[in-house]
Amino acid sequence: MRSAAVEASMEHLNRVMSVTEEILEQAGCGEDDRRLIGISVEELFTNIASYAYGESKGKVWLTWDIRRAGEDRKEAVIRFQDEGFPYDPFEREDPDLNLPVEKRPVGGLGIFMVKQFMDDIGYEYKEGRNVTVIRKTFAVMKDEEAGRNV
Amino acid sequence: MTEIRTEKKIDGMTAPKLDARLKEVLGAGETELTIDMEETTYISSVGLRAFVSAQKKINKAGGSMVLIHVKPCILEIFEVTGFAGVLTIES
Repeated sequence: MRSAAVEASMEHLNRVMSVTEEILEQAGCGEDDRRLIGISVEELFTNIASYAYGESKGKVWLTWDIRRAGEDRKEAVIRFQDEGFPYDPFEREDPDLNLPVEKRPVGGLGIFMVKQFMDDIGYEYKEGRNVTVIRKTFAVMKDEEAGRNV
Repeated sequence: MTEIRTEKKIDGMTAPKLDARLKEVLGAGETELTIDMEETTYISSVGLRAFVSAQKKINKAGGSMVLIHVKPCILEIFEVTGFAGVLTIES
């Protein structure tokens, strides 16, 4: 398991994304799953960086855990914790995807993608922290396949 | 007609630049846009919002915006988010 504490600010998105990419690549996660997990990490981090602490500053604690999930499969479990306002990102209603472009709300899309792309999402408010967890299983690529996908 | 090439990743770091470029071009009165997405293999919601905001302006102006060379992995994201129906996409 790897963990990091970073300031909840968009300046640190790049670092969070490259650590995520590196961990998944080392675990043998293919390009398609890396993309979907990457988008989910970006959306959740962005939400925390943009809203969790309002105008003040604060931290995000991240953990990345890779577990075996059977023959040739693994799962990535990524946890975000912050001490911002209590807020369950997954409570939000899904955007109406049938609306014409003029009436499309601009918010909610990111979290909607997280819900679509992950196998499992979780949220709890515990000991003064928002704890958000995402989980996705993926097929482990053989070296040559992983290489081809890079 | 103006053509814009998008980067490999349209994410929280690069999307503001794309958004600014779209606004600049549309602000200058352009109504015919071609977006070449040949290089792009990643887009997050901030990138989707840049496109939807451009599409709204284009519709108002009676122009057109065509996304060309869209890779299947990006098309998948447009489909999941319902954007395939509101954007003009050529793979």
